[in-house]
Amino acid sequence: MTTPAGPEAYTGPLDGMFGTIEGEIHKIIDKYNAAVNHINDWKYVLGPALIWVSDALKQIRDGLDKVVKLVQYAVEHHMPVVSLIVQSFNWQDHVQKDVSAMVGSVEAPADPNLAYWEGAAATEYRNRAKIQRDAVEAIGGQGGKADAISSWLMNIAKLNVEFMTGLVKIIADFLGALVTASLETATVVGIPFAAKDLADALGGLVTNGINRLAEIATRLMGTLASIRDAKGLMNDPRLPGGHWPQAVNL
Amino acid sequence: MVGYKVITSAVRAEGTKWRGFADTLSKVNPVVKNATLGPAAFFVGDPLTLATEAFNASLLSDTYESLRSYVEKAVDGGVLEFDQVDDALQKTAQMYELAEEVTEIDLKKIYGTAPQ
Repeated sequence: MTTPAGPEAYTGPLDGMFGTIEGEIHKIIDKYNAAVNHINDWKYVLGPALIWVSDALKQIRDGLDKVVKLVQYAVEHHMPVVSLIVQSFNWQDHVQKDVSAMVGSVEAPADPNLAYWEGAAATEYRNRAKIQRDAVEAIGGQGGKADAISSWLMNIAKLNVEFMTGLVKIIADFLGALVTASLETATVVGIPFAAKDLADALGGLVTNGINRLAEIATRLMGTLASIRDAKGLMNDPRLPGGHWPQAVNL
Repeated sequence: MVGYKVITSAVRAEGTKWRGFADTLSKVNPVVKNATLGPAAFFVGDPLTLATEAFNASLLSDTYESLRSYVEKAVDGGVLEFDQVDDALQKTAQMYELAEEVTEIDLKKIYGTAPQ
């Protein structure tokens, strides 16, 4: 996996997509309202066909409600998800990197003359330093805690970007279908057929779109298995009982 | 010094190295402390509209929090331990310097009862 340089790799596209959907959803609502107004203007002329049209409008409205709910929820969670993305990079840049930089230097003597140190005290120190080194590696090493946590959060970030990409597509398709049907300019003869066709098209579009998005939610829950299966993640002999190993206890 | 070879300045320098590690780790510490995330941070998708019953935001945030606090606790201990390794090495150097003829250093006086 190539790791992006910074949180902007994810937050940038997300910000862009949120900007897009907030604009598009208003266009959809305007278009829908224009269609309803247009139909209301003709309701006496439409006569019995109005029942048919009303059913179609209700279907359209149901689809629209679902999309609006998805947008509202997503907008409310935009900033919290951005904070998750920022934290995933903090784990990588300010925990994993800083701690892993220590791994090599723990065992390398600060002064080469330390090599002349021999005897029981020297052995004792070197053994204890080794245990400390292992603990450092447990946190900051390859596949260590910081790495695992950061990778997991980045996977979640990616799934969120994928979700938003899917939501943007649903909204674009929804708007596209409304534009194509142009209920707001349909002739009184055309209205019932156009409304029915539009309702059918949107019904499928919303259902399929939501199914695809729901699958992303399932995959997101699936990431839990990988973090839990990472055996030893929270049961690591290098950090006995979840504590840093004691070198000194006076 | 009979049976022992040591250059005490190197032992002292070694201690200072650990002091530096303690500083590094104490800068990592607040990053981990502040890395908390609530359930809302994990997904922009509305589980109700998506009808995904299996989706559980609290399970995600609880799992994350247990990992984060695990690391926080460990790192807390590391800062303390690294400082103490410095102290132990300075004390070791001092013992070598004070003794006219060192035959044995009581390691318990340096490391206490911490298991090796």
